[in-house]
Amino acid sequence: MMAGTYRRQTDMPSHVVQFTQYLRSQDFDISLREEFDYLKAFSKKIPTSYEEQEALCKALFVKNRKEFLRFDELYTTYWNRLALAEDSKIKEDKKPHKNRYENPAVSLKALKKWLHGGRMEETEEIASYSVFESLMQKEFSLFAEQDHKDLRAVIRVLALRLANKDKRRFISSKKRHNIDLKNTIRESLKSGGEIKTFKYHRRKKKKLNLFLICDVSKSMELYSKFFIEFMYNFQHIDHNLKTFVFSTQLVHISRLLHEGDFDAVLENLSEAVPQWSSGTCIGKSLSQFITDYSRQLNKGSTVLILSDGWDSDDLDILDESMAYIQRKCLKTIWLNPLAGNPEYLPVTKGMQTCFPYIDVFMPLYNLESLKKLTQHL
Amino acid sequence: MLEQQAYVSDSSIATSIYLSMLLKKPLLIEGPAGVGKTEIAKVIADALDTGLIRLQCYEGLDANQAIYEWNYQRQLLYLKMTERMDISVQEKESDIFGEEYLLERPLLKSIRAKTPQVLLIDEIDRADEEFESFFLELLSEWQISIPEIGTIKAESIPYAIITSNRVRELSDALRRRCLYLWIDFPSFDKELEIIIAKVPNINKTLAEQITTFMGSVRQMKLEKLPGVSETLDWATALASMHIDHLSKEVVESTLGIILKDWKDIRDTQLSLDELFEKVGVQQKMK
Repeated sequence: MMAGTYRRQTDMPSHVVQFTQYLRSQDFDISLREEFDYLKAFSKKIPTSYEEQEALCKALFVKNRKEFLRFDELYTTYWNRLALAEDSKIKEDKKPHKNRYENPAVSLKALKKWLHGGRMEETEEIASYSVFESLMQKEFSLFAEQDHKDLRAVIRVLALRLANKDKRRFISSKKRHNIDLKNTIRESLKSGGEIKTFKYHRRKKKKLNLFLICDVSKSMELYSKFFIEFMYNFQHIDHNLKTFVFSTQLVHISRLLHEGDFDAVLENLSEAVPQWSSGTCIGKSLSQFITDYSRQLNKGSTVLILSDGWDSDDLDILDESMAYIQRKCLKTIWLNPLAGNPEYLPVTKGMQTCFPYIDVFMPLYNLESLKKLTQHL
Repeated sequence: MLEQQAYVSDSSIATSIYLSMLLKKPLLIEGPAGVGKTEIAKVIADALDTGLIRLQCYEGLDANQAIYEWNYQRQLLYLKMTERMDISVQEKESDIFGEEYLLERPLLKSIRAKTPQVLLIDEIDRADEEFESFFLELLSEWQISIPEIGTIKAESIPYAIITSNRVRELSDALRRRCLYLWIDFPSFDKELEIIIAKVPNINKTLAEQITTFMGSVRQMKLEKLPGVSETLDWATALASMHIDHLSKEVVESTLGIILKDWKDIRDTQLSLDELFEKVGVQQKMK
């Protein structure tokens, strides 16, 4: 929010509305209920100091750790800007201000152009008796607009397969497929050993504890749209999946992937990830991942990193972070789109640093390779 | 209120507790393990001189263990006893699904108490995600629906404290119904204050050295960072051993009190010289 777009208000409700609008513009999830709560609390106990007022707002408007850590800075910024702002009674300046949506990241524009067929003329026509057969072998960077519908269908099937793996354990079920003998007999004891009702069970679904971290730096530009598409479909099937993208810093995108259709998601991502297609700091991003999410990592977690391993960052941080992830998780899988080339060797410094800590290293450049990935999860 | 119970807090903690009580909204507390999240519930219960009802969450926890369960044995006994009596099936049914046969579990117990109790839902992140939905009705409407009986409204609204160690992300629906508080590892001054408040017989120099040392250990990349509870255990142990300052031998022999992972202990032992140097430098700077 720019300094000129909000004003000093003369009553508390207007102030609260304006401040919550500011917080919402900073991605805080605040509903009307919190605004009412604030006014209710304010009517019971009027804050006597700046700190008390801040603590009151913080307790009511913050809903997670990320917001908690950002709040103090945003609060100070807001009130500092407000001190420079005009009173609400002064007539509004009609000068049109620049729309922040006008200039999304150039690279993302290219990405969308590709999505909407900009690359169609570049693609080759491959004659094949089966659409899916040809799709499975086709490199992601060569996908054309008309392939996307089929591509999504295949990704969805693969994601479904991943999300619906069975465990060894059983749980009771209402579907009358498999009789649960143990519980049927136990139940029959109530009626003196006479079996009156059957109990049924099914295999418990395996909950994948997956963390997907995707590189969206410049060097990955050709592949990142496909990976986002994969993450989008997978996220919609498995709500437990945690998805992240990084270039110079890490951004958690699980929630964004749920907002609207794929085009809307791309639109939202362009705002949420301003460093799209910039440089790469894998070490710094993974270190950020550890700081914020290491509590969620355990010996059942699998971390999937999708990157070509080009890193312009301090390799010591990368080494430290990869070692930590390997210690904390069940499996670290590195998917490299360049590894599909038979002559590829992981000679980049970033890749060499990571290699000792990777449990599975495999190429991911077409649907066939994606299918192979399902064997490792 | 918190000070009376020797709980060292700050404005953020105090305001959140105050608002939680004022607005009758649950307080969701997140933070690393051992920073005093659960302690807040105990402190509130003691300060208000009311009962503490605790629901310890774990994987597989279900509504029967958290909300209510029917007393099946008693129901069977009743059916057996009334076998030869002239009672219709409908009557029997309404009898055995009456409140007499209802076993209260923590959540139901908390809303049926005559006076407001402190309800501690501990480590909710350990429970399955589906289980969170059981809480939603309770936390927003303060009522529980039991199909056989109907809706039971709260006789008194409990002071609900929910803690999470962030093993998994909690749902937005749950977050929206709560006030949020993040408790991080304390600053030097706050941790020192906590040690002096909780371990009154400790030597002040030792307390300062322990605080500085713990601050430095938390800067290391360890599997499990020690919390305030570990600091207090360590301080209590050293004070009861009549130790008045930290030495390398003392730290090496008592490292198991603050670190609970063999690799963490090994890494810390290897970095002891460096850590002591830091403690010395920071002590001089104070």
